[in-house]
Amino acid sequence: MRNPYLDVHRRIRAHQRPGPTWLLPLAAAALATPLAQPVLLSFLDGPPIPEVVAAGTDAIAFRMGALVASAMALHTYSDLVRGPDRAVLDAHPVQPRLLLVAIAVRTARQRLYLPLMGAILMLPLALHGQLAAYAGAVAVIVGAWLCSLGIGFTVHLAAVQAAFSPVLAAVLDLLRGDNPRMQAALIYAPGVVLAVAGLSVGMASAGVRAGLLGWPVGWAFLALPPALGLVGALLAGPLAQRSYVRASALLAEVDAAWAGREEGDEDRRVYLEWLGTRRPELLRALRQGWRRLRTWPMGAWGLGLVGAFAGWSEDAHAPAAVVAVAGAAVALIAAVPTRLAEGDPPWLDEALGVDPGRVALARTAVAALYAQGAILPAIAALLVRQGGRALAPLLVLELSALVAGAFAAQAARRFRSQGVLAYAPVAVLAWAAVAGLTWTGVRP
Amino acid sequence: MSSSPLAPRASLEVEGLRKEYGRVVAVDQVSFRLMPGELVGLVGPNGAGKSTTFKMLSGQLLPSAGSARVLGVDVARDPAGARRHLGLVPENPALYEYLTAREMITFAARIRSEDPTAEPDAERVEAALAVAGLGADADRLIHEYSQGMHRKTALACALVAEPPVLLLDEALNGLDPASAERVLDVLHARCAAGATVLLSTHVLDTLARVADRVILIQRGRVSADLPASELEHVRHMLREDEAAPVPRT
Repeated sequence: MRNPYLDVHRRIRAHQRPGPTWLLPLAAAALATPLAQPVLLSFLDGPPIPEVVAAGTDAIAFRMGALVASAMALHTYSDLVRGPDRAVLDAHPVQPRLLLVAIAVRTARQRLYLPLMGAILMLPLALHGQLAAYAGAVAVIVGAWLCSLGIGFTVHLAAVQAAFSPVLAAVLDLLRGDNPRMQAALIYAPGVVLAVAGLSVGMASAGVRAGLLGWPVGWAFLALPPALGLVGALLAGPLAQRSYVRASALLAEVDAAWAGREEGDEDRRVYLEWLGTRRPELLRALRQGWRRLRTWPMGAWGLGLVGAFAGWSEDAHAPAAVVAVAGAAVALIAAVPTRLAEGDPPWLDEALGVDPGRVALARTAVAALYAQGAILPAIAALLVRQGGRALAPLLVLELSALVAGAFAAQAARRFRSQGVLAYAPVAVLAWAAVAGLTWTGVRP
Repeated sequence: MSSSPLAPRASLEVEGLRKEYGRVVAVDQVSFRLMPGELVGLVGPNGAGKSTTFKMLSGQLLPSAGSARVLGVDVARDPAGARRHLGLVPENPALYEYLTAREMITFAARIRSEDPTAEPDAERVEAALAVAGLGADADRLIHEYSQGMHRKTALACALVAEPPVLLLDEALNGLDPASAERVLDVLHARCAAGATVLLSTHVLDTLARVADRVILIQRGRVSADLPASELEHVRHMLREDEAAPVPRT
């Protein structure tokens, strides 16, 4: 039996001849590993006390696993619900179960770099002779990946069902805030994936800790995340049958609701638009960013809150923690120029008579401006708790935002939508270097 | 609009279809029936609601009110079921850009067949390729195609499995005259075999040759549903519409 969707994805891949781009994140992780070790695996610097190693492995395995699960929660949404197949298949009858298998295989292949990066970043554990801890940490990360892959599709498909459910309408109205009702279920789906995966990953990493401390049953907890993923995968087929096609109408409703809101003058306002009133390239980039990539400036403030948690401390390491956490957020948000360039055909700037250098400069400015959402809350928290010691992290982060934004803008100018492939490895490496050096620098 | 048990079953039944976006009403009280073997033109100025109607007929958009049925299947309730009877060419057809037209049409034939895991009927694929008239270009990647070639490929994908109902939204746009003629001949032949075609177009002369009826949509409402022989009247109404001041919503 041959799956037509798998066949078609295989053919597309053969025609695209993508090259070994998957090596880039792995190479970046390999280069970042020694630099990030002081931040991620600081417990290896002391004597190998079993309790310390077990606790440290538990903590880092959980964090890395949760990070992988959160990335997969978003990827499963973007690959299935808003994936590239939908527009093509909207004109045809589909066999949702077969399609789901093909999409899952493609997602697994394209996102395999996530657990591999985790395995590379954990390598210092093995190099310090902590082989069992290394194996346990990698198993947790791989389990998180499998779990979120399995339940991700299920939860997103269930969210489509929920969006159409008259029974849940009242609940969704309570939760949706300013969003259209039909979007409410979709918005919270990644959070549900993360919560379920996070719980099982937490139990698995705690199991590793117990296993390392001599309680063999603890290792059995490693089976929890993959088992949960398997259950999710089994439920996804019937849900796809009911929800995949209906999701097209749901997405059209959500998009139309947003477009309808922007009819009003109030909603035409663009975040930070006043900064671009006399700079047409900046105005264009700000408008494009706000209307097409609103999650980025809004998400930056969300990440800023995470940074604020790191900064709300009188610990001597808090400034370095702020640089590490907010720096990671800055590295992420500063990729926005590559997304801004995605829809622009190469001839556009030429046709508009615009200097590409000025466009790149405007995109740099947008990246730096959006990054303020990630920087300012963290610095404010640190300022309150430690006063003047917040100044150095502020300078480091602002400089990082400018440099990263400029690099992303140049990558976008040169490679358009592929610019992110050039930006991402360099950003990971730069973040690891800055975070590692800052952490080492403040060590008592 | 109710049908008696003795009346032949309509292929496409649209009843009181309405779509509103906030305060904007894009389509309102649109009703019509298309019988097997009919080729009906859907005409109207830009923004009249033709594409919105097509999207509701194919399950890509939920109606705010009213219903659409394809061979008795309610599109809003069972969009997947309705799609099995439909061949659709949307206004802006999306194709897998990194396939050749031959591969895309073969894929469409597979997923439209009874057994999508089996190889499709090669003769049907060749026949659809002949309608597209891409010649040697059929083995080039779609992302290298012009707009017209893109549309021809989408048409061939819709026609390959000979579905009983064809919804073609501006499907002849960008086609050279010879290709348009060839496609119209195929549509005519499909109707003769009992299929139903709803074709939206701006080229009224095209409809004069092939259509049985013409439905005129203006400002979201059906303003005329006439035999194709009265196309001149439709043309006149369209000219009046152009001359009329645009109402503010």
